[in-house]
Amino acid sequence: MELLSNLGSAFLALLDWQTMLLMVAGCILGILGGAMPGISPATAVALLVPFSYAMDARLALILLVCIYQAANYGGSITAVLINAPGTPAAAATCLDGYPLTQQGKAGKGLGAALVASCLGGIFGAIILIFFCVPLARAALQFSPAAYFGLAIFGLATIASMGEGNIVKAILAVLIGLLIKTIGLDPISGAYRFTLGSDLLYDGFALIPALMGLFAVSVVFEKVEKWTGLDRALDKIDSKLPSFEELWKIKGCVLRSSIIGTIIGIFPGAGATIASFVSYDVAKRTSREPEKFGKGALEGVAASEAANSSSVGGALIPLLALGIPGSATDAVLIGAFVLHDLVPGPLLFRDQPAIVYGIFASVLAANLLVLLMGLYGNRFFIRMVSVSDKILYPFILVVALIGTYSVSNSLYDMGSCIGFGIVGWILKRYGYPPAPVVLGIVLGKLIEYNFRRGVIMGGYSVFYTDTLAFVVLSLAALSLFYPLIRAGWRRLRKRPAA
Amino acid sequence: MWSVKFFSEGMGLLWLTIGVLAILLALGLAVRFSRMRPYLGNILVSCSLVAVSLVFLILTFDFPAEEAGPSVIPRLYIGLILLLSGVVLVQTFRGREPAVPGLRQPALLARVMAVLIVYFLALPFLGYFLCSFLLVVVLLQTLSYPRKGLIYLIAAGWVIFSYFAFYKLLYIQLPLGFFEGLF
Repeated sequence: MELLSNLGSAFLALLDWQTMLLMVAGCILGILGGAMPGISPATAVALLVPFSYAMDARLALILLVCIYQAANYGGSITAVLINAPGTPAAAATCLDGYPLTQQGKAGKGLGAALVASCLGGIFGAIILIFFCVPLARAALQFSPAAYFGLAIFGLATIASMGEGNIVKAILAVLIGLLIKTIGLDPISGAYRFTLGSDLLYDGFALIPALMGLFAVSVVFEKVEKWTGLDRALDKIDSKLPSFEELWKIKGCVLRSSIIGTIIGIFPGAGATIASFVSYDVAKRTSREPEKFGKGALEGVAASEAANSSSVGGALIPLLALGIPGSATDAVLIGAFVLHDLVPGPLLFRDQPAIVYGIFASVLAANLLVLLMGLYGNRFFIRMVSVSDKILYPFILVVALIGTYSVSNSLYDMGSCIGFGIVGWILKRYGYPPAPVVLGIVLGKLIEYNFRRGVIMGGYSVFYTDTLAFVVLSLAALSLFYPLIRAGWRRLRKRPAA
Repeated sequence: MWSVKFFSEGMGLLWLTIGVLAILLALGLAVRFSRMRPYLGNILVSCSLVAVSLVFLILTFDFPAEEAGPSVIPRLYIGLILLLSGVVLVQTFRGREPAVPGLRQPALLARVMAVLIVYFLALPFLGYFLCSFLLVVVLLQTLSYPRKGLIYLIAAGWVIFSYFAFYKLLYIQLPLGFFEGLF
């Protein structure tokens, strides 16, 4: 009952004009951000995090969550129209979305993506609401050792960021973790790696790292591969799918939403894996599997329902435990930190208005995206065709002023450019930048709980505390599973001597 | 008598940095003229990680020694970085790492990076508004924006927007440089 009454109050609070305006702005920015190839949902959210600093914490987080949710639909627009997924999770949408455009049925592809995305998002939000609260209550009983285990489990997210090389992804997360140790030690108060400079006493702030690694490095990467050609969008047919066509895919949408939400909950999986797994399941369970890859509405719906529902799933560990389930969640933690909030079980006790505000806004964002998609797709398609020659300079100026604005610090701006250059180098050589951010985000939680655990119970606490042991084992399995699988495949391929 | 403290700041740190850079440069040159040349970047990135980790490791000996003290976690991370960088290096030498193709637009990228660095250095003197106007103009020209007449209009639009949105509405204390008295 308490949950429903809190949720009711949160929905009423959303009706305030200021909140509504921010939600609409968030959804528009999210769809546009998601639709621009090269700008991931994490980048779209990261670009806005510093500007949310001056806002009330509840409004700021509602804005960012709306961007996060809407970006997942946005990714499908360019996936369907030009075969260029706006987000990595929309890659599976290309498989059937673009063939529809080639057949002159782009409107049907976009319509199926929109409806499936919104229904999937709503499903994920409902699961988020009903699972998050009990999980947060249980988490209040966790020991520091168990929390350390959970934070390490959070690192398992990098398994989905590795781009084929898990060793480099782990190295990237270690770089982030090591960066986080610079500055004042949270327990003993000793200064570490400050090199005699008072600028490093507080270490590196999260926002410059976010902006540098997610925005500036992306621009460097695009400039290095510059062709000077702009995206070409032909005149598209805007006829939406009929109700009968949508009704036929209801089972596929529901199944994909369930898969997406479950995969989203586990750090290490994420929206991209969710959409490919759902696509595969949809193909195998379809009555017309031969149509997949040639413009099947089911294929578009499976991918979109899964990646949208994974947002709700990924928010569960973030809100209940403070563990990010995806790269965008790691960025959201930056927003929490910026407003002096710590996501986790205590947030439910101390700031219920914020938590329930987020729940309500995830649900409402999907309805807004549905309306915007139905009536505003032409606008989004026009905006997506904006030239990269304008887009990239503006990403840079927005990232730089955003970084500066948080603490009015030129040092932060310099760090942002530095992180941008480092991020570009790392990415060029196969080290994904997202795990660096994850390491910076989780670094303090890991170190603080590890050392508290050891001080309270010695090093043996990590195998005598059952929960810590179980979670650490799961984390190790998630992290090293790709390595074990690769080794196993290599062994099987090797001819018998 | 030299101690770890000597390397943690001032001249000692400078010498340490110069030493590390010299070693990396020598290594780079050695790889450049060997059969591993296509993997120069991969090897340099891994070796830089090893070098920086070793510097960090040296610095941890200056931390207070206590059980579960401030050096425990950094040393754990450093150990893992050294181990995994070694794994990546071995993979590279065994040809399991893909060679990264050369830069497609090195001059363009260098120009964009240089423009950003100059912008950052000029900000305290020329102020945010003039610097940002010039930044947008230069970036649009660098990326060959075709409508030349619009470039100045777009840059001026950004300056006016940032003046009202950030300076007036959000009260962000933007650096004004020589124009401090004007605002």
